[in-house]
Amino acid sequence: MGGGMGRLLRRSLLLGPALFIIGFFMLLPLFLMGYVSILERGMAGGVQWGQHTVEAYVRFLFERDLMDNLVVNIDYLRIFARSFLLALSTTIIALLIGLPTAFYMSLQPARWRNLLIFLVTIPFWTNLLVRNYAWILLLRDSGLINGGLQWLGLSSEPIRLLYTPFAVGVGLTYSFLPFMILPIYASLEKIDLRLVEAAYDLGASKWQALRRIVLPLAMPGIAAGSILVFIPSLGAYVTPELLGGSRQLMIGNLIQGQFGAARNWPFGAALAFVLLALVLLAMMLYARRYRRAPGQA
Amino acid sequence: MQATSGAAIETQRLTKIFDGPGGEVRALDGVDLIIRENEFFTLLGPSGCGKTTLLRLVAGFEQPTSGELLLEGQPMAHRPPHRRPVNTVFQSYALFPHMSVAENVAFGLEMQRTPRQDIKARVERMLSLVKLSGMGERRPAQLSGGQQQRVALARALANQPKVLLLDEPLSALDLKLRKDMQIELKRLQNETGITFVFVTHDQEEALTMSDRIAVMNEGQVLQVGSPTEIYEHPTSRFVADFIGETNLLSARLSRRDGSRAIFDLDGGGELQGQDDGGHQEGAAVTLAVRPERAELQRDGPGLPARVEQLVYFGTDTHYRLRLGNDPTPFVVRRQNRSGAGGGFAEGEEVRLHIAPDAVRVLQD
Repeated sequence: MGGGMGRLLRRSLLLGPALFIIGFFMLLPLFLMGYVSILERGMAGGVQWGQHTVEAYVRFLFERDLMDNLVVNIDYLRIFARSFLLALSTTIIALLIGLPTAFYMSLQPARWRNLLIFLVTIPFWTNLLVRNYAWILLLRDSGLINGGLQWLGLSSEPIRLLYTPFAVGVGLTYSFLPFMILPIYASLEKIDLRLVEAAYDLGASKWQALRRIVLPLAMPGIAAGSILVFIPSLGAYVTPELLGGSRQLMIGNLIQGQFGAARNWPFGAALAFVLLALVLLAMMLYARRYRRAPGQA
Repeated sequence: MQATSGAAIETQRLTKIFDGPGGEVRALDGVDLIIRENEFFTLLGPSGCGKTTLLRLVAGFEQPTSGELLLEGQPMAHRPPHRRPVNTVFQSYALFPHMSVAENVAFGLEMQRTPRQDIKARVERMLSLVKLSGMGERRPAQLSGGQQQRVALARALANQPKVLLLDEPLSALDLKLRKDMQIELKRLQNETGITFVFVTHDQEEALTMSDRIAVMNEGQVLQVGSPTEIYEHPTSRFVADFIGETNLLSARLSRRDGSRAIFDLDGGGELQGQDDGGHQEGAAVTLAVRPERAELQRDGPGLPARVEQLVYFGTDTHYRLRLGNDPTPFVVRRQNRSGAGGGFAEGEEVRLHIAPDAVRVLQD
């Protein structure tokens, strides 16, 4: 009995800090935001405590005309769709770049691999803001890329690169690529090379060994990397703000606007919750698909 | 390069040099070997002797530095592993963890583009061959070590290779399972008629399973022969010492007497052996005598010796003797049968009798 109690005590002591951090810094703010999303907005920002309404959620899909009738308004939905599309293409491009990179890294001699990992993490040494400004210098009409193209005589006038979805995609891919490379590398490195030899031995070509053995075994890394790129891309704020300009709003900018200039806290909170719900839904679909995938091989 | 007919594998001056951190390592040093069709051939040697390198060259995982490798008379230079009529059972089994047992066995067949319905039938047949029928849906991780071993065998045999390579496949199994699998492997080889090339460092395993054995050391093949030849007629000190227990005696060829050769032991005394004609009178030689081929007597002819220690093994007893002033003890093994006469006690003075046909003259 005493031993059981001791174990319980020890366990709660060990779990304590984690529970405190999750409870105090994650669950509590989340509940607070959830509550804010069902309150009346305060006219000068903030909320009117005690005044409950679902107006914020209604506003996501409808607007009120002059007669106070609800009219469908898909502007916000469009921003959500654009954000999803941008986050998805960022994830796919990061995967297309990250998978071969990680594969190359895992095939290097052990003493080179740590250096390569170090190189992949170098961008983290610089502030995200600074790195995005650097992309402005590259992408703007008088920037390095346009300057170079004109100097080579490949174009006569600047090609519009900055403030386009392309610029946002480039910025996001660049920012989050390490999050794709590192988990894939970790799972590739764990693969027993003898399995690949066994596949060759049984008649598999290099391509078949890659597709049937290496990729399925790297799936946990590919899944983790994709999630780690997709979620921050979806909620990205700095990159679309700097590289997308006013016309390439993403969810993050929309939410920020509601808490800032628009002074509509409940709507901002509601948008955040809709985003959260959609992300959870996407993750669930992904998890179901992924769990079935290895068996199909 | 002339290929030998009836040879499943032939190597000619096969050499493999690795660049190690401490310079070049000659893993294989000019190996000439002929492995016949349908035989159970064992590469036996201590770790680092080159046996696994030879196997990997045959499988195609490594390329030889020089020399020729022929499979069924076909030169294999630069032919990738997936184009060779050879399959391997790996030491670690190397089963695909993300596939079921049946998918593992089917993998090679799928790579060969075998029609789907044939694959299913063949997988069933392979699983029943290794006594794993009904286990097809399991994952490798759900199987015991012995069962994983059988899956690895079924997977490698499914493609009906000309040659099956086995890289110390039994080393991870416990003794009882290993004995069962030895018999099982022999049965599979008889049933399939496939040439088995078996790599091991376990001399007992090699002796019990093989049709022929190649004993290797330091990248070279020292002797090739049947288990009896290897055990009864070792040609070199290394082979005599590595295979079973042996007493090695330094001696000098004193004189010849008909078909007999008389040796003067360095430790004192004389020993008669069969004359192999390979040495001149006065030449220094090493003689090998198996512990069970020497006899102990209370008196009569023979070399005088003293029992220093006796070790009881159940079925037999080992007597460690001091022979003249030879510093290494001479071991005699006597079966413990009823009626075999009483044992000898430690400290007892005895006579060691060694028949001439029990004495082997080693070449080095």
